[in-house]
Amino acid sequence: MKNQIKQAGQGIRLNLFFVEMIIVLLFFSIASAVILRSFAGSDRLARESRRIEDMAFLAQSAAEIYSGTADLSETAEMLTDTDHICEYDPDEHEITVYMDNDVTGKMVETSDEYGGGSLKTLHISFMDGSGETLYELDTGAYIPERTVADGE
Amino acid sequence: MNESENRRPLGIGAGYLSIMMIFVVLCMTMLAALSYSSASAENRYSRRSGEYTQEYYAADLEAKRVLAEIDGIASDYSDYSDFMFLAELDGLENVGYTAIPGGTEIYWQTPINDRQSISSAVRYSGNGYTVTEWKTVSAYEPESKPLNVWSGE
Repeated sequence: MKNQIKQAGQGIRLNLFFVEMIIVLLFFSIASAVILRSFAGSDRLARESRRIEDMAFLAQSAAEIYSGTADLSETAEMLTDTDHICEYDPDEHEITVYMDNDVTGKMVETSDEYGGGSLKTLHISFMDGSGETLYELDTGAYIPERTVADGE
Repeated sequence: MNESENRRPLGIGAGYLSIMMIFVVLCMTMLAALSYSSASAENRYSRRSGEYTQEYYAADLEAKRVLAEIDGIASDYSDYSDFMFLAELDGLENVGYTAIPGGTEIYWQTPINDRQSISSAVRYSGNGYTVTEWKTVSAYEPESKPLNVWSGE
């Protein structure tokens, strides 16, 4: 009689263990799904940050070179030296830069004439594969017609 | 007394799994929250940095546009102390000037954002201009332009 009660108790304990295991696995799988989603979100944000930083850095480099030289071909040449694939189109006054992550940069030069010289403007924009603009920046250089006196 | 009757059952008892699961889920949740907040802060910083770069170069271009306008006016004059030249400069917004021996120093500020601006100054004398200042200044800095008074020279 005593043994029968003992065996019945062990059977209930075993059942309880399996019921708990099922509940734990269910809860764990739901929690894991939520947590993995959060990790995926973090990864997406980190990739986006890196992409923004890359674009801003490249745009700043191009802007600095162009501000100093006011020459699109020289800008393209110097950007190529920074391990970027650049295509310079002298007819369209345009540079196309191919970056990682399916991002393409376009740099278009325009010129406005003023009485004493010309103001060259470089519009830099970055687009993703779908054509959506991700980052834009405008820079320029003023080229006076007359000789500029030496700086102090 | 029979020893086997007092022996505790082998294996994991009920409740241990729940405790372990709660601990693991809590650890994973904390890691996920920390990772997300860190990535989010980095993303916000990158965006702000990118926006500031845009604002700076937009202001720099605007300052160069003002320089182009000033130089457009100056190209019609050979005497940079000419009254008409100075009168035309008065027509430009946010542009000031100071008479200097043999010419004029012209200065203007272009706002980058609420806190900073680009302070530019050019000196017209002889046959052209010299850029004497092109720097970022805080909006809260006191104006450091010299007063237009006789310096004893």
